[in-house]
Amino acid sequence: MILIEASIGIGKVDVLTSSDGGLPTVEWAKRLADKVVSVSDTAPPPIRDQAQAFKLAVQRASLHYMQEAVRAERDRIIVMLEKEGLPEVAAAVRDMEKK
Amino acid sequence: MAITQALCTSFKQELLEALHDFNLSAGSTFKIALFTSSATLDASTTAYSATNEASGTGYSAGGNTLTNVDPTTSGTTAFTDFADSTWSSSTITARGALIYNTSASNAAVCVLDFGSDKSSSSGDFTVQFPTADASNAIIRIA
Repeated sequence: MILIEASIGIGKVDVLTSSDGGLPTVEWAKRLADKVVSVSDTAPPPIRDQAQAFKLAVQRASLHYMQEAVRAERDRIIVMLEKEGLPEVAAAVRDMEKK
Repeated sequence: MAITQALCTSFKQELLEALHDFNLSAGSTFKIALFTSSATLDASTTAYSATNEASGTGYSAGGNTLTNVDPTTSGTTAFTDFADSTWSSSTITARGALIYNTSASNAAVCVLDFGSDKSSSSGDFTVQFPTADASNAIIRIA
């Protein structure tokens, strides 16, 4: 008799929610790092430590460039609003950068 | 009324019938729909239904379209994944979700249990899929 066995499994999802606005940039940077770099808790310590250090570097770099992208997009919105003759709204958006 | 996390039994048979294709390019289109705690979803669920589906600002019936991640293997385990899915600027309360295949008459794939009611208020509601590896991926065959 020939018998072949296999198992099929389902993973666990996490749910992240926010109120009065989207998730902060730091959460997206952390999520990007989690997606790009993963290491088993049972991996040899030198490999695990190196992977976690790399993950932190990815998180910091992505946070910086995400913040730059948000700033650039906000600048584009300010220019559009000013061109549309809405200087007060543009000023309100510009003030958001200071907060 | 309960949401029990499970790979749907019908999905297992359909997998053997080549009904589901998880490839990013030219694969099936999968969606994720959110449900309230009043829903009954478990391994016996066979297809998407709007009964007790979540509702609210920023949520459209049927849920979000998922972005497939090409199936791959690690060791003797094959697995597949999806990109995280977000309902932005939303006000939603949901207890669980159903992933289903719109390319196959809305055939159910799996039921996800959030563990408790999750709520957003004029913000993001994000379902984060697990790490795509042989131990954690959302769908694994060992």
